[in-house]
Amino acid sequence: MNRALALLALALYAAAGLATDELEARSQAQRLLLMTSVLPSQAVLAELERFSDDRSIPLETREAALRQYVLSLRDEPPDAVNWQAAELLSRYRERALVSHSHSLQNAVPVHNVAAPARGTLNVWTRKLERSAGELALANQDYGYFSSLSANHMQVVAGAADALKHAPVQLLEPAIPHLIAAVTREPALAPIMLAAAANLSDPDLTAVALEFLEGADRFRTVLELDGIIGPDAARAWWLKSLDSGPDQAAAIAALGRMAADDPDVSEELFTLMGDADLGAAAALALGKSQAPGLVDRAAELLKSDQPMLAARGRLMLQSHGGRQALQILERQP
Amino acid sequence: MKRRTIVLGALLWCGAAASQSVIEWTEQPGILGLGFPVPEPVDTPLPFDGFRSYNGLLTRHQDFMLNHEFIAGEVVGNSEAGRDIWAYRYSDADSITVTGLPEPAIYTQGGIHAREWQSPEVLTGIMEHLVANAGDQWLHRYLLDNMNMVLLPVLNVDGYLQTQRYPRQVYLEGSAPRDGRMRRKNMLGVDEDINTSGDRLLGVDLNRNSPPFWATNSGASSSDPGSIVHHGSGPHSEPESLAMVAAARLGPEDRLRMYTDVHSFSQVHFSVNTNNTRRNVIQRNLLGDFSSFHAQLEGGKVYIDRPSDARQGQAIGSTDEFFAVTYAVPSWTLEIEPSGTLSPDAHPSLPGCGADYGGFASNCHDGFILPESEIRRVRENLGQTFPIAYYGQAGPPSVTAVRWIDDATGAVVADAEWDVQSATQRSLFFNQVQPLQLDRSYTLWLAFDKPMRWRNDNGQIAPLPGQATRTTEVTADLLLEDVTQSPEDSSGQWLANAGGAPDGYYRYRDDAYSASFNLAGSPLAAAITGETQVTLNLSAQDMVGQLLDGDPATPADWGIVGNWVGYEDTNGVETDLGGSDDTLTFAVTSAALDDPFVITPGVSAVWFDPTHDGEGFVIEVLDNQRAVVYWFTYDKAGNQRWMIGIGQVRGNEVVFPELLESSGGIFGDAFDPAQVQFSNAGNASFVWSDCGAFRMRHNVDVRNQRQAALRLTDSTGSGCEFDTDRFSLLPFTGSWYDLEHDGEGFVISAAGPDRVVVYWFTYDDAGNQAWIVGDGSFDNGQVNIEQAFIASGGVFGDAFDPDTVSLEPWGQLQFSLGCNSGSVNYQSVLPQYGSGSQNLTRLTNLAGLDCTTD
Ligand SMILES: [Zn+2]
Repeated sequence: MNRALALLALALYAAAGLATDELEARSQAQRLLLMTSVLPSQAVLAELERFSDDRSIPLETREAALRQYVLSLRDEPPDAVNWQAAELLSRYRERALVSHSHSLQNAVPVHNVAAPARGTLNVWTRKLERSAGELALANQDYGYFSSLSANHMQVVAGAADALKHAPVQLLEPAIPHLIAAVTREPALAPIMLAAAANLSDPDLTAVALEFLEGADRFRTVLELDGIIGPDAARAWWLKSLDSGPDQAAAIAALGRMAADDPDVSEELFTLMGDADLGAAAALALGKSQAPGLVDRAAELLKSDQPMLAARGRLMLQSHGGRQALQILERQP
Repeated sequence: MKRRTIVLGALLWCGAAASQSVIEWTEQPGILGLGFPVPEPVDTPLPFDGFRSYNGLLTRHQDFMLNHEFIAGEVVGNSEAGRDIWAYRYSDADSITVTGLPEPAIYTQGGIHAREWQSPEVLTGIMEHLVANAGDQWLHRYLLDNMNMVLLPVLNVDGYLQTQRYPRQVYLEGSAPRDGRMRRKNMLGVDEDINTSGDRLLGVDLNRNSPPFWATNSGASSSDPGSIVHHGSGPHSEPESLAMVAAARLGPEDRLRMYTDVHSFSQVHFSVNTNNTRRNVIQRNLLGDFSSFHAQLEGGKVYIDRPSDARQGQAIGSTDEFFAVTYAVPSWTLEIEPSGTLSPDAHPSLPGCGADYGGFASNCHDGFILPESEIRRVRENLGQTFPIAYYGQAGPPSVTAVRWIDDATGAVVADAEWDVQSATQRSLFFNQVQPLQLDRSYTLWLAFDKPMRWRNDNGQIAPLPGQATRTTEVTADLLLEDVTQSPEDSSGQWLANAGGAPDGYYRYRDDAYSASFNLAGSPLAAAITGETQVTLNLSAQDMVGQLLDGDPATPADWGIVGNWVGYEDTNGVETDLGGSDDTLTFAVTSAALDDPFVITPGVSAVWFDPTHDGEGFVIEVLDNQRAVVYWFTYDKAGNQRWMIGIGQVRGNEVVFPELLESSGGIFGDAFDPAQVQFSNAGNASFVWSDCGAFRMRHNVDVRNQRQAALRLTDSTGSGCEFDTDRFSLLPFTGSWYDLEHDGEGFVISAAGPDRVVVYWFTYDDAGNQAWIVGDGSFDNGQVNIEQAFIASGGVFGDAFDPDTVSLEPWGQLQFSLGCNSGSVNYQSVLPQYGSGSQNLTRLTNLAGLDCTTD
């Protein structure tokens, strides 16, 4: 082992031996928070720097205090002083270390300071954006939406928060401007979705789905029945089976209906020989416990097409009932 | 100056937490506020922008297993609660590489820690990438053909299900979230209800349960069953640990060359160093290749290597130590992103934890909760990257074949190939038909034992992403003392199309390279008088920069002590670095020689290797550069076997990409063409040195084997052309069959001016292949064979011994042949064959012959 590693290991044991003085940490965090609320920014930053190196307080306790401080700042308004304080601490390098839970010879902070400080900035970004969105709606300042950026996760999320909770009479006149904004920047589609959810408006949801991608889209399609009603959702899911980005979500969602809806379970059966989708349909059907399913799966198992036989097996596996498992056990 | 009043109650982040026990991860700010939607597992096998449930993943793995012949699944053990733990072998059915060496293995494991949902998704991503690219006839096909990739996606099945049972809820112990979504350990002694308080901290940390350093370090693992790093009651006390060992045995374990335990988070490799410096260096380079490739992908994510020492006091009882020490292979824990605020910082430009994605990092355990919006990229990027590491550990590259092809005639004038004889030995097959001449143009064709090059989106050769430009350099020089001759400028090219020498790759895209030489007027030419041996100096690197094996006679392998063996440098000294290959020399002459022999119609004949008397080949040269071979031989048990190939004539070579063998026919009236199945038994190449001899290579029985054949029949006159004047029966020769017996047939060859030899490629009464041979008289279309024979007792391949072959009288055959139709009657002395007749139709017309008597 090289010398630097040896020293690091020693430092780790040392750190582990020190317990954080929780009371002291809390009282220091309170003091810093009060100080931040009254002092000008230069003085706040100077005090944070001084405190970071204040050897009269054990390092681990000091860093616990800094962590509590940046977390508590989240509940304060993101004014310039608070922002600068959080930003300063987002560059902080923790020195009280413990070994990583996967590697004794690698260290992580006992108390993370920098990452939650960055998180605090992200919390504020979201809150600021929500406020800005609410203000824009109240003032009918729709230019806000046309200049909205999709570069930061929390900017989009904050604007969506504003739309999701806006009074309906403020939201409705904004809709054409939302559509324009999302057309310009499809990555803003979550704001359209938030508005649609607020208004429980299926048409608007459909517009949002024209732009939504990735995780937001999957989640929306999967839970479409809660947004546009079960009948409209059923139609949407069936239509999505043929092609496009919603096949997986549609199959999973239809699986929930298959037990009570013979037409749906038939549709899923027709996918059984599809190289890509067949396994998904088999899982959805198997889980659904649809009537007659075990017998049909057992039929498939005898198919001379290996892929169909495989899907019969998957269906029985995901069904998991006694009869299903017995049939599987009898297979070679 | 006071800006506002502060509500001190808001400060109690940690204090508030202590008063509640089971709380939830949330999207909005809070004690466990993420800043992004809380992921919830979805029951689907399909990859999507989110996390699959255990059932979804299992269905995916099983669907792959059931639908692809290159995937085999096995239950390698059971969890604490008795659930099956599956491992999958991604590999072809045999455990032998395409050249005949024992396949190396890798083992990649996921899901040992339940809450690290990234891990099973990434293991599944590797599978998805291999399946999607299995047909690429390049890197991924190469891996499937030549390596045994053992992938275990979810080891801690019980724990994983517990985290998915509670995708939001956790028990907060101080500031540390435990159980529910944050369960790390297995479920020993734990019920599935997070709200029962007595057991929720229990379980064994499966990554502290391994020898040889089990429980050797109280700072790193604990005997307290409630500890997050509880090491269990003994080394490999847990059934999940035993399943891991069983999965490693699928390699089998003595073929392992790499172990990865896939965890999250921190975006690093926690690699394990042992006291074997050579292994450590190989591991470091391997991880460098992994990381530099990954960094070039869509996410641009950089994985940093942070090695630890596997030694008492430092070691922790983890699985990577177990593999590093027990199997002496590169072994590491991959910590998937996000970055993890390590000290010293591995990622100074990243904030760490959930903040890497713009999240709140309220509690850095949120690093275990990758946003749903990120998992597709993470899964796909790592799914692409692991095969790069597998490719490196598949072994250093080696020259496998070299050919010189005469450009004017297309003839192979020199043919060298390293044939595998055993796991530790290759022998050089060398056949130079004529010396290289100074004033002729040649193509030098080099083949390697793995795909050697990456191509960019435009199909152009480029360094593997992350590798240096020098990795694309190739040297193929002729050396005579201090004179060096390089190929003609910019004639060198990697070969992306199938077909073999001189224009195609050997087995995989870009496993072969060609370059042009013409020595006229060169300094080398000036140094040659008469016939001189000239050395070929070859130097190249594979895609990850591994140099050539300097001595292909000893195949490179992973040694039991943990480094390469049989991997020599330029001077033949064993290293881990390789070198250049100057093991081959070729004759060059200053004399002007005739053109090399090229195949003529007169090559159509019966041929045999005198050391293989009792088996042989019927060759039929057809028009349009095609040829047919019938190989009458035996299986390993001494039963008759025959193969048929349709080949391409190139200069003096016939290439048979496939040798087909058949099954299912029944002799006689019971014959049903629908029951005959042809399957691919291998491939072969025949190279003639002159009109009377060829050397053939076949890869039917796992590895290259060869025969050197001479003529059994000869009906040529001058210039290797048919002597149709003397052999007036020639127009009747060729292949014949009964339209209702498609799947068996007769081959009639001229054995003399009025004699023929006939082979009947058929079946016995039990559906096994059979062949019957006889020679007889030919008179105006009437063939009479008084005594045909059936042979047995030969053994396929190099084990053939002429003395074990025995001939048994079979019976009589009479043919009546026109130019295009005819008939045969037969009377066998063997009761199972009996007598009968067939109507015959001509199947082949030999090149150079024209039948007009009908
Ligand atoms: Zn882990």
